[in-house]
Amino acid sequence: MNFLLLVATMTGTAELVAEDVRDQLSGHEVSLVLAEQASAAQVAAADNLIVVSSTYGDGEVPEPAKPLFSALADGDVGLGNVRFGVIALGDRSLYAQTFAQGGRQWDAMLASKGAVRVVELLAVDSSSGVDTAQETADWLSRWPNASIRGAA
Amino acid sequence: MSDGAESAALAVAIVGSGPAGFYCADALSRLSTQARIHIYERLPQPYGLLRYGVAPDHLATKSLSRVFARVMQRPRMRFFGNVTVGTDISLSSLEDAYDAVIVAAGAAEGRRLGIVRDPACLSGTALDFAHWFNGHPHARALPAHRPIRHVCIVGNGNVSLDVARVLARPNDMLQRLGVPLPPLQWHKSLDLKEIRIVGRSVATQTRFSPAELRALAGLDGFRPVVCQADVSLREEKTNECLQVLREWASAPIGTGRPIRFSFGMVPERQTTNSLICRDASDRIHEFDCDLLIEAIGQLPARVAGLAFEPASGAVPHERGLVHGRKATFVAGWSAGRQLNIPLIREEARELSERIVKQIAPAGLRGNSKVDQLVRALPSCVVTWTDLSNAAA
Repeated sequence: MNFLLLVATMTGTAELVAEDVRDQLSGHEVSLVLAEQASAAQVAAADNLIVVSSTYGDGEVPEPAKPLFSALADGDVGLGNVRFGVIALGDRSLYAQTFAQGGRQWDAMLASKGAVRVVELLAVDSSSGVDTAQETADWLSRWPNASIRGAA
Repeated sequence: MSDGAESAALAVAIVGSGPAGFYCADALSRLSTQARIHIYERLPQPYGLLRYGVAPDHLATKSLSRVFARVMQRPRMRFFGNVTVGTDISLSSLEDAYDAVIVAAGAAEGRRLGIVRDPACLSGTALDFAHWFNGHPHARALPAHRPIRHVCIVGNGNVSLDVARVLARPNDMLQRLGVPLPPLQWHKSLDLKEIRIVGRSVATQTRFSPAELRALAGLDGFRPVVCQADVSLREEKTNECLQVLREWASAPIGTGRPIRFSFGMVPERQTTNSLICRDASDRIHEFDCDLLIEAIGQLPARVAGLAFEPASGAVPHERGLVHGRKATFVAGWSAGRQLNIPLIREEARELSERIVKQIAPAGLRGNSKVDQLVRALPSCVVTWTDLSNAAA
């Protein structure tokens, strides 16, 4: 299977999580791309799209990802052939109100553009000290027809 | 990669293992996969201000250490802790051995207010406070020989909010967060009636970020208190912080001890139990204050062998390249930059790109001098293997 692993990060934390996901998808064809280096057309062409996004400021999408987000949200690229899932990072202990809001915005936007959500959003609390690699492996194991390394 | 390229790989020394240093290491190792990157750290433990400056309850930010630890797993990365550049090893010997040196030495001390103080009054900087609560090995303890009921924090930025929040946290939570015993006992001994955040700026011009400000409302046993008069300024350039402050000003009086905000105040004098301030109309205000915490900025750490600007403490440089040097660069606080973590990362990437471009493969010095220098490091040096063994 082909996966586009799209990373929206400002500190590198989402990238770290995405690197784990890439490793867990070994055996599949995965391209890990930073949102600031990706085009809307590239996203539209993906068979399977995983967005790993942090949350910035007051519940926003990370700054470097905003151009791509707007291009997808405001443009007319068809996402009907894209199967997607979102991993949303946040800090529940300090910013409960806007927790994982950046990723939730991707999730809602992609769905509204016709992309098909195949796994429910995974919200990862970076303040909790949990093993994010285990969380993502469990989440990936629910991806239809994908075999995942490291899943419980 | 051919053998030729292998033997002439870029070698970079980074002085300081905080966010600026580690983001440079990250970017350099991505741009030049063969590069040897050696991080020199004054303290035995890595991560600088991430470990010792960021408030202990900022767990998501603290978890950035996982990103940096993964950078250390890349080949040809090395960490030399407990080595002070200027004492244990000279900057010029690093400059002599490596193709480039990046100084990212961080901030070492908080700025102080130039006010009149009674000799017996208690005060400290927000950086002292953060160092102590984060277990910095050279932390200055805050005094505890008098009951502390009223704390004033001067500064209208997120650092003030950090101090207020940590003070207001339940003691057992701080314990769970790993705060060391001496500050825990000090915190337990407080008899807090009120915390006051005092700023020079008016309520429309604070440097708080809205999310950090909002986090102050969720504290058990405390409530933010804002004067209606401070937030009903005629200025209609509204911003999100002002909106939060306005919400608090018009909220019904709740329970819990107040975290008060005072805007437009210039501190003039501290007595043993008060802080005396002057407002823009020259009126004098006297606030109860048993302890004053100054959160008005920090000064870059000095590195022996580098000039610094007296006022800012920063090393004079041109887009990161130190004046008068060919391949010595500064990043983060050392460059006079006071940035949030995302911007530190962005600047580190830009600087790393320039370094990789500027230092042509033809000009590389080879490995022998670096090997020699590493072999001659003092025996007290703490390596990444030492740290991993200690953690296991």
